[in-house]
Amino acid sequence: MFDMLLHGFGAVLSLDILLLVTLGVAVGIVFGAVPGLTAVMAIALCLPMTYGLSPAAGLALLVALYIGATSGGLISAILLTIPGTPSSIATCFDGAPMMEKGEGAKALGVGIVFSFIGTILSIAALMFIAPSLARIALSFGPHEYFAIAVFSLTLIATLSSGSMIKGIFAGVLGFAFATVGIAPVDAIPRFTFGQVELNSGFSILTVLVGVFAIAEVIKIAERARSERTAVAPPMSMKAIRGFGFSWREFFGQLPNAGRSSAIGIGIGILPGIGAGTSNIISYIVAKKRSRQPEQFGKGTIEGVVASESANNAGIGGALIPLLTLGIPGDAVTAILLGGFMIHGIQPGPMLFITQGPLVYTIFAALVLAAVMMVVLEFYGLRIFIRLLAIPKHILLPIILVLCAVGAFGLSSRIFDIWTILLFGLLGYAFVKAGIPAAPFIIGFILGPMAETNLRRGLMLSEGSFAGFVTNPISGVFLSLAAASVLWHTYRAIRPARQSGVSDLLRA
Amino acid sequence: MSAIDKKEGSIGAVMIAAGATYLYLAQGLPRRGMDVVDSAFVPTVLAVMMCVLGVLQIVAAARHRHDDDTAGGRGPDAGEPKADAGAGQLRAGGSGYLTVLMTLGLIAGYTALLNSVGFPIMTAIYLFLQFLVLTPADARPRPGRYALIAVVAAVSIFATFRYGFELMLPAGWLAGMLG
Repeated sequence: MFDMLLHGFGAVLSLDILLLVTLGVAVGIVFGAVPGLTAVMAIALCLPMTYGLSPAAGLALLVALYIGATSGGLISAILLTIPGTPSSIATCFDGAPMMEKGEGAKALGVGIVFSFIGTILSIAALMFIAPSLARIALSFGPHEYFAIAVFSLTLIATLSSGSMIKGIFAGVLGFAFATVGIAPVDAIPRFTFGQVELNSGFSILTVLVGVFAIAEVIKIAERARSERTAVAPPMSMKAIRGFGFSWREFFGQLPNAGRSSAIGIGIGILPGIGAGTSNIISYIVAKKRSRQPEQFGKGTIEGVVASESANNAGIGGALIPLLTLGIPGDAVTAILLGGFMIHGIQPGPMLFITQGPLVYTIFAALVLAAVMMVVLEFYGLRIFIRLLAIPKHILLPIILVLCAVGAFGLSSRIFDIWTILLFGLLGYAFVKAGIPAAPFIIGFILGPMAETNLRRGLMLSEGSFAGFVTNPISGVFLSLAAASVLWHTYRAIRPARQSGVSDLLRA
Repeated sequence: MSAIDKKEGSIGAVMIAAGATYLYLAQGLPRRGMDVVDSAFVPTVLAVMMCVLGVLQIVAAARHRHDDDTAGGRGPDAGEPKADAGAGQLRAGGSGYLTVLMTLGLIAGYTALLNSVGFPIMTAIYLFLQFLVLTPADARPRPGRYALIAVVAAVSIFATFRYGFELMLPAGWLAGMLG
């Protein structure tokens, strides 16, 4: 393993990849920091740049964007009291009061350093867990893959924000869109209406760019004429030594960071609930375990540490199911999956056997990106603060053009630009109807996996469905899927109770 | 029926309509003999699920109204979230939707003419018009600056991808000049 990792570091420390990782982290931080811009957008608009790159260089750029965008949210969360991404919501709770007390630089320093620690811990977990899990997954057949796909779909649909009915509907609709094109096993064209372009179905990237990036542009267009650009208040960096906090404070926060990172990694592995949830849960846990819980919400570094360690720890966690099973847990890993596929790489257990050096190059790129994140956020903070002031009415149309370029670049077809517009409208309709978009994407990605393995499994068991229940792993996952739906149905029916989050927000 | 119930109910109706349309299309798929699981099986199951979920959504909307009535019209907070909850609480007025329509029109026009007119010209035109459309009401539009940014951005993106990443973006009217 260490040989492979050294080989990976050798690859990423070449000048071109080093520059790409630096660029990726910098662009990612900007997208994370500017409210309304997302990690998905950042990856979507940089995808066309990877078409001409080697897989190692292209994927290093994409993971660097992921790390930068996840961490960048802390800048606006502290300076503007607006989380740049959902993963930095809890950072606002104490980061903003620290800013008001004149401790903005300290809050940023704490956020940057503990984002780094969370990222590194999660990469370590990824490096140790993923190869073992991949070895286990090698023995999986169609029954197991069908059950895992169904389990992931039910989990993401039931755990999504808002109504469970809408979450499940979104997942089913995504699955339905994935049935367009040539059917698995018997190769019958479905819902193509004679259009040759539809024979291969909708590209995952056009769907992702449409639902997340274009829908976001349309959503912001709705408010653009009545919205003012948030401006960061001036912040003095003079008289700040190091990262703005003492070694004693650093060591004192390590248990909090370790616990929050563990929460972030654990939640990151689960499909559907990522950094957007883990930062809040870690914050609640940190508050409960703190010796000074009354200081939470008034500007304590404990809150910033909990939130930022947890959200960045989700990175490694979310990559575990993606790399070992080919199952993305959220929109960002879904678009990363698209990036892998562009380079002809299919994530899954075989990836560790057929593309071992590439996998360890990705691990090395993650570590390098985490280091670059600290360097760029610390030394480039003034530049990022300035970028927060770029008017949205200038930025968004340029992002849209870059998304169109990315879609066109997939197959040099204008058809793909029409597709992102179609899915952009659908994503906007989801926003208006309160339907979560993540289950739609996961349904779109896991649907074909579920259908293909269902049909293969039935062929293996000579048309009997019993094989899916009698197979131990498949049986367990299908039972968990059923239990998840039943539990959430029960919770939806019984009288509403106050959640921990609402308690927290009231406090 | 309160406005929120109507909205939730109509979302359920749209779900049923989508499911029914999909079911109709799925029934047109060729079947393979007596096989239960063929290429029409999954679409049929999905279509039925969509219809059932639509019915459940309407029931939930009706239950919601009932809860509101019994709670003395205290509002929907205890039950299902409002349609826009969690989505940035969008509350657009008429001008917001007009901006959305103009933006969609611009994107559609841009896509339709991209191949024939070419990426550099269409992108510059699109960006210029889109900057104007999205300019906040309290800010003064700056056509000169917008035009400059639009041209520089269009040329930079075109040159970067065509010559840097070898992505053959359509040159259109400039094809003869750009080669």
